[in-house]
Amino acid sequence: MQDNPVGALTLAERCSRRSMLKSSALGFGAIALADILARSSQGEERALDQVHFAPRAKRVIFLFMHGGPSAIDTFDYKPLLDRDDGKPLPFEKPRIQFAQTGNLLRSPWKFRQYGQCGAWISDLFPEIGRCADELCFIKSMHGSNEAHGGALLKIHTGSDTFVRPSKGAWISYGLGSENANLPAFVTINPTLGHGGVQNFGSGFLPPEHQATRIGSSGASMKTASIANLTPPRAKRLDQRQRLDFVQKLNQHQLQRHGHNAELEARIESLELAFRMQMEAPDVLDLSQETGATHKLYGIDEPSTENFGRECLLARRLSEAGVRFVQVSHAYWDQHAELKEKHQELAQQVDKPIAGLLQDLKRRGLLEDTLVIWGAEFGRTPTAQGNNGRDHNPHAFTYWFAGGGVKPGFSYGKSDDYGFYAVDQKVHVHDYHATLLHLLGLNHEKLTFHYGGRDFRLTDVHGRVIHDIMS
Amino acid sequence: MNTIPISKSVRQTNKLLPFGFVCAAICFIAPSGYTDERERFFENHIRPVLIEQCYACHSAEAKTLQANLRVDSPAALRRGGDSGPAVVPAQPEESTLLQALEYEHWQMPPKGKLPDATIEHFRKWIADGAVDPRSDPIEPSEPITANRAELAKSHWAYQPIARPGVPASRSDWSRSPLDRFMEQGATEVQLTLSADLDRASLLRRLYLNLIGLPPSPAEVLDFLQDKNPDSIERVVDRLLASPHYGERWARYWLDLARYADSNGADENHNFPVAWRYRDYVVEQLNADLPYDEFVTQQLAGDLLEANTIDERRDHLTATGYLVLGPKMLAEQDKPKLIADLVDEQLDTIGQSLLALTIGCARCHDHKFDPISAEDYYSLAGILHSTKTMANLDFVSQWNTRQLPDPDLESQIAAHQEIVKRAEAELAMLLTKPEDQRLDEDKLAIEKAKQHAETLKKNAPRLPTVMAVEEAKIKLVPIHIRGNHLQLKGQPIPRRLPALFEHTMPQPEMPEQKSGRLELAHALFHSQNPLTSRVIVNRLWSWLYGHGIVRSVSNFGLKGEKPSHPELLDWLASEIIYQEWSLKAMQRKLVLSHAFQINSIAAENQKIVDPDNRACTHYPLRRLEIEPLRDCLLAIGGNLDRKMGGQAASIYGANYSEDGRGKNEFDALRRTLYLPVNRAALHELFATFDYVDSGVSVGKRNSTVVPHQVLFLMNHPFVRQQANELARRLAQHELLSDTRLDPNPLKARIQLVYLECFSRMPDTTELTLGQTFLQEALTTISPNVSLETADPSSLEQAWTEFCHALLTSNESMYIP
Repeated sequence: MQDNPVGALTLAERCSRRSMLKSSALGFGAIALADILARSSQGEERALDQVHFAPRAKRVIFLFMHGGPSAIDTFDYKPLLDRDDGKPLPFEKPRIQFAQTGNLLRSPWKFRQYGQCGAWISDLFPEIGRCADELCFIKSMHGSNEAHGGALLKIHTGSDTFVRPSKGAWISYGLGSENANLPAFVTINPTLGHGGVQNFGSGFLPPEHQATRIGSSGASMKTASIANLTPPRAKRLDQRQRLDFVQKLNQHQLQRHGHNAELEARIESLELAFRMQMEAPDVLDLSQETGATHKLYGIDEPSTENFGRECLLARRLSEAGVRFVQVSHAYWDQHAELKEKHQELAQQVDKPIAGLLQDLKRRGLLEDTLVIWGAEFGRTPTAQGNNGRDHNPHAFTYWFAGGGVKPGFSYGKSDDYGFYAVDQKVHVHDYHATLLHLLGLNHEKLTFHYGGRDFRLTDVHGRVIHDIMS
Repeated sequence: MNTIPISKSVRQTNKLLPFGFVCAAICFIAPSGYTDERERFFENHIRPVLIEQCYACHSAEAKTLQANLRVDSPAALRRGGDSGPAVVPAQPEESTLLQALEYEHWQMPPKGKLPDATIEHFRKWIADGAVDPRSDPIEPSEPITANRAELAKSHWAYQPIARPGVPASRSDWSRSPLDRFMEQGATEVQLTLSADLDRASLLRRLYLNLIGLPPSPAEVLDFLQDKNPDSIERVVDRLLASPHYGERWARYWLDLARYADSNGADENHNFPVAWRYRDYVVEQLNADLPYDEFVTQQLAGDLLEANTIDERRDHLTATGYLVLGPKMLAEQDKPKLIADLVDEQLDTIGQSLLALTIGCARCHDHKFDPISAEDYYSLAGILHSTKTMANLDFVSQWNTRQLPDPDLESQIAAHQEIVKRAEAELAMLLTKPEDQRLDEDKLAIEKAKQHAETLKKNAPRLPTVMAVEEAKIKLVPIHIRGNHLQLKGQPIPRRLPALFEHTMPQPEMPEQKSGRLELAHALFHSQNPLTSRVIVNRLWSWLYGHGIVRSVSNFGLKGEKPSHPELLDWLASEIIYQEWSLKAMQRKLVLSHAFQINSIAAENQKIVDPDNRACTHYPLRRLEIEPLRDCLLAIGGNLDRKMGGQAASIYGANYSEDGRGKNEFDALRRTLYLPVNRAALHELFATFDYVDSGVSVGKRNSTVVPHQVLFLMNHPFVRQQANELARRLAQHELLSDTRLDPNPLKARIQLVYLECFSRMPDTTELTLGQTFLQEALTTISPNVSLETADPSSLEQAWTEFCHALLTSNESMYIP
């Protein structure tokens, strides 16, 4: 990037430049309400002072394990399941199930305790295990939809019934971007099935809050990028030279036409696009990281390379000020071949995720970055075939790290076998309420008026889980 | 609805307009902290107890709501349940909640009396006024049932439509009654309407609005020379008769009908035959099918008498309107699937045809409008009595129907005979006992088997469409909170919402039929106050960018009021006089003087009427993605004008599975024909504000985001069109036209302007262009001039020039 006018600055310096966006109301990621209020009253750097509570996290990295990894084979240790392997479930199965299951099936993996907190974690995640003292588990998550599509929509948008904005869009709407030259919401390799774009769309919120997508499920991170960032190649003709002429045409049109807010906005938008084109490739360029960092994320090993790149990219985007980065990994849907496939998938993400946590920590970013690990649901303790488990929305585990949650802590319980959440239950809506709260937003007050009424991410539900906050 | 001080400036940049609603109210985010001590008390002592002890049975989360009491909403607490008000502020003794906690008449919570201290907290909280800061997003603070009839009687949109008198003309400015209403509106705010648009721009405005494609340079030059007084009228008639008209206007209707080529929702299955509905819309708009028939066919085409086979095919295809919505196909709670499906249909019908937000009344009486839950479930009965799903299997399947085709049917019959013969031959061979078969017998059997199978596989089939049919009549009771597991009272008879009753009679619902046809007839009852107002407002909005009522899909109490109420009613009665002809109405609109004024806002217009509600200048508006992309293709000379047909073939079979089919720009057809994949909506659509194909959209957003510019600056597709135009320029048929400048360089610049902006450049633009071309050329190939450069360098320089014009603002706007 020799002709990059900002090439001489460090990433951090570049990211702190908030340039004209602050005064032009044309943010990439939008006009966040808090942003506008802050701008009108306080000027620079005050966006977050206007949120509802003091924010504990400024940005989120959501590691989404599409398909539904099994909680009882990973983070929710159930000794009784081991004991009662092959016996019938001693209580009733739910009214509606996705598939029929048989008797209890023990976990094929050993569990061991990690760290000061002594969290039980299975041998699927030895590397994450070593970060146990950073993690805050919720083992009593529950939802209401037993099919992937509905459950994905529920986790992402709060509704498996209607078309609604995704949580990343709500956060973009509520907080805007920390960096004027980058979008507020980025999703890396999302699935385009099971709700597809609706899972990262803006619904009725203004379209600028939809996610900017990089790749889609399974794409190689070596080539995936944001669309249309590269100018057409032409002999030595500088993009700036081209744009200067376009701007002359635009100014001339404006003169012919007389003052018009929208035309003026477009003139600014062209400048913004130019700056983004200059800055974004830089943020997306992983080669700027050291070999040691690549190694930390497992990018040097073929099996962990791709997810390692996704995680490293997530850190760079996050560091550069993107509010909500989602990283998706697929496909954890083991109705059969549980042992083989869960092992393979876990191996792909274990080291990259541990690397991400350590990297954020050493850079001081973990303090105000919230990392979330989870899926659309978990899996049943009862067997499908002899080496598989069905979908289970009635109990599953999420873990959080960083941004304002208690490290080395566990909240909520599922029953002895992990079929139902029983203690300190956390519904998907409660998770959303808590997520917004950690970012300083009151889930009952973050509303948007549409179709005759005010809407919220949590609809008429949601309870903030204060107990997990540090 | 809170507004904040900045909303006006936001609105001016068109940034925050939600679909269908110009009045974008964003809720105010209050400063942090509790407003007073009593709120803190509630948060610390009351809310946690309610959540922990009561919600399981008395909230939206409850599996079965007990005693009709909810405590998760302030309004619900005050209203109470079966035993009367649970909380009476400042009167602890009157509050049944407290009585229950104290284990007096009732004993709550059932598993044990709460500690005395906790009960004392409740007493104090109620005594202090029962301050409850929880928001109540869907519960009305007061029941409005009593006011419902009153509201219906007084709200403007529910009034009968009387044809208003046309104001007297004060000048020779007005050309039509419509103009006189517009003139009057301007006079009321002491403004005058802007001056006339120049002729070249007017031609572009007409082309872009009516067919979504630019006029050719020759058409512009000819029109500029045409001095006949009826020149504009002839252009309008030509455009309305163009098949491209249907392609442009179908897209608006398809937005309303939430058209897509895949299901979206949970399982994004292809809609492989949805395109027949899309083509139906294009064809009927081109044929100017009267709007009443157009809508009736879509609601109840299957129930109509058809005079011809073609008509019958159209009638069946039209009902795709009811089937196109997103459905939770893998939802295992099948009654919920149906309830959600009916809800989606009702919401679409309500918003698109009546601008009524009926969907709001699924869970409770409408919070603002006179629509009760009973109204909702009375309409729901019509759709519950209609078959939209073919089955409710594990992954359920929507309904399709075969299109009649006598020729094909006789072919099929003939083919069946052939199959039968082949099967008979096989059966003959099989009569020989297995142990007696020789090798040649086995070979013959194998051959005969394959032959029969191939014949069956290649059997001609009747084409299918997504369509509904009648089902068993099923009336439904009110679902408490919209939950199909919590029913209340008796099934509700089918009828229109009560608000219609003060202008028109209820339709007679037949006992043995769904009532869709009766519903359609009721929409077009001469006294229906909404249908005609809604459609003429939409026609206006599709030509002006916003409606006379700006909330085009919500005419309710929270919608906007009409800026020109008399004009709206005049148009609403006029469309009935015009026998619901959409083209006749569009013709009137675009031939009015008001439509032909320029888009420049005078200073006093901006001050007096910043939102341009009086429409004293034509609102400048950005092209939607479809005409924008179509124009680029046309300018590049690459537009494939083939009409209709299957969308999926453009992408290859897999497009909806992973969204990674072939590059969409392989298809050079109009954007209307690109598949709309709900789960993997193409980024280009999303970038230009076509973000949701799963809900009825009355008006798309028009945002300004850098992705849009990035597309124009950097996408190879745009570059390619610029390059093709540059290449075409060298042999352009108008190059030596006498109406262009004799200087060949200037003539080419003029041609590029004509192609890209449908007008001639002014002298400044000519100079700017010449300078840029020379600069670009110098960079590409130093030391040459425009006169001496080699063709390849010249083409590059011209490509740069054309690309710059296509990237500039003017190419995106309707002048």
